[in-house]
Amino acid sequence: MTQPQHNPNHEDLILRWVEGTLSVSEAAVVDQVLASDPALRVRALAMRQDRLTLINLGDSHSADLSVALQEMIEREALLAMEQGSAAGSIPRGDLHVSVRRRRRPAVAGSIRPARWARAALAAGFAVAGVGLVWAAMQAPWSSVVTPPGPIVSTDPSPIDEPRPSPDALLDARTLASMTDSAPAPVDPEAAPSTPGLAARMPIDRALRLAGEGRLCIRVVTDQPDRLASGLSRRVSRARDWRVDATPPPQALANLVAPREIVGPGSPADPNRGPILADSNEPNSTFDPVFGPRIEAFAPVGVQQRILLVASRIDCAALESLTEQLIVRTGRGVVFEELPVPTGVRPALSPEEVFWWSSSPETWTGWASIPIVLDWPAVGSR
Amino acid sequence: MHDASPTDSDLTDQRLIARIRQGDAAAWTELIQAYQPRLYTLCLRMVGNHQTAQDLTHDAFVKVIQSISTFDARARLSTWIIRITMNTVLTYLRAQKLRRHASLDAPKHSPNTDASRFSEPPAREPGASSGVEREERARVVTRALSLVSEEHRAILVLRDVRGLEYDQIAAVLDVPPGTVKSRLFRARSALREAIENLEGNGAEP
Repeated sequence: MTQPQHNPNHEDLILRWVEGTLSVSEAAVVDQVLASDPALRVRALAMRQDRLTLINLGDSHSADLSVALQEMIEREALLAMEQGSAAGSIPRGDLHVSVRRRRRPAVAGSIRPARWARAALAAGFAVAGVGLVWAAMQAPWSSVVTPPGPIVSTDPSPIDEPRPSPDALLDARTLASMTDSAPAPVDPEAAPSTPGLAARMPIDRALRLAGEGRLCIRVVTDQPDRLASGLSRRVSRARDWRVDATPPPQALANLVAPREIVGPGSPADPNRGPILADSNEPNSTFDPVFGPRIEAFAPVGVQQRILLVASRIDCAALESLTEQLIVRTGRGVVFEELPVPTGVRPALSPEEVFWWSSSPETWTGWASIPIVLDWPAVGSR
Repeated sequence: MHDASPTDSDLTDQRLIARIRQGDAAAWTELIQAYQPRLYTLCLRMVGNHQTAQDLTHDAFVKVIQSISTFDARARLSTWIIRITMNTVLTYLRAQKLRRHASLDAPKHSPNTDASRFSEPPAREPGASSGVEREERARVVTRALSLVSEEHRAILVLRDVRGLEYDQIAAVLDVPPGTVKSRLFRARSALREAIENLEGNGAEP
């Protein structure tokens, strides 16, 4: 087939001929040209047919998104009314979801060491990496293979709670007896340190807990199956985290107890304030009226599903994950501190084994984070 | 299928924007219902997967809701919304491509990119004699669309599926109008070659 002329003028004329937007005089000129070149004429006619076919494909229809989105809109409108402004003028900083992400520097734009230095570095880390992978696989409750890269954290204060022995992991009686088994202290006045995170736990603390296997993310959703499948599909879009195919161990369900879901505006609304009764003391029991966490083990009218997500332990990954949860549910998410490490390790992926072959900015550890989806049982709303 | 006449749609959009800025949440519903089929179709033709298209449409609307306060009312709302949607789609497709390149598993059967699973157009009401032929042609063109580059696919979808004018396409893709014409010509040529390859290989579904 003859290739079309590459003269820009010819291209423009033929394009407009294909689209039928030529004037009569221009069309006459093009017709004359096409008559002298049968191959070009066939091709131009075929292009015209292709265009008509594309036009006639028509619109497709999907499930109505307005309901899910309307919930978000109404919440934002309410928020705007509280702040004395209209919905259309909500300041960006007040929105739960941020489109700004702290991205790792682009590989192409970053300053790279010389090739020999990179090769030496990679070789050294390869040896160290193999050792670390092996060590991590031997450790009974080490949450993640941690290469010698920086874990993003600006808080130098160490976690002073002693780690429980592996035998104590996921022991419900241990949970009941622990007084520091509350969710992370939730202070509605404390702004999250990372823009876009609706969770009220400082990001540094969340990252530390993730590294220890003690971070849990809770979200209320009306469509848990859709959310779960959506997150699973998102795997290919987010290299920072992925939904683990491994089902969560049963003991984890005891560790992350169901909670009561209440209406918007109440203290338990994740978008309004703390999920559970507020407390002035960090790591105190979560509910000053009903006592320790064990009280929450049998709420009425709430169903729960737990997803395990393997995530890099860095701000960008956590932001990406929470942003997805917020976008897909239209609600806020809450970080919770688990009383004991879950003991669940993320399944090894090629990225983790070959972490040394990727950009140094990605040399962070991975952790398995339970995502607890709570939704009202049928008939309870 | 194509956008309504600019005057009508622009006036409607301006009224919607005014109501949204006055805090009328119902205006959002109208806007979403007015734009959802167009945006969903755009996403579907770009990614070829119904569920992904729906997710991307949702994501695009979220971005619209978030940034409506930054919308300049002198611009066309439809162009602005389509630009957000197209950017959402292209970001997704580029991330997919990067991931495929980076993955050691080299997945070759991603449901979102596998041309063989590219969503076929819905069955249309056939005419008495040429309905089947039209459906076959629509399938071939849809498959061929999945085979051309994202850049070419985007401009074909904007021009032919969405019916945007050159200046609107230039605004959506953030390129000069002259570039739109040359890129569109190359896109039509690329689509034609893809169709010829499919037909030559007997790969019609």
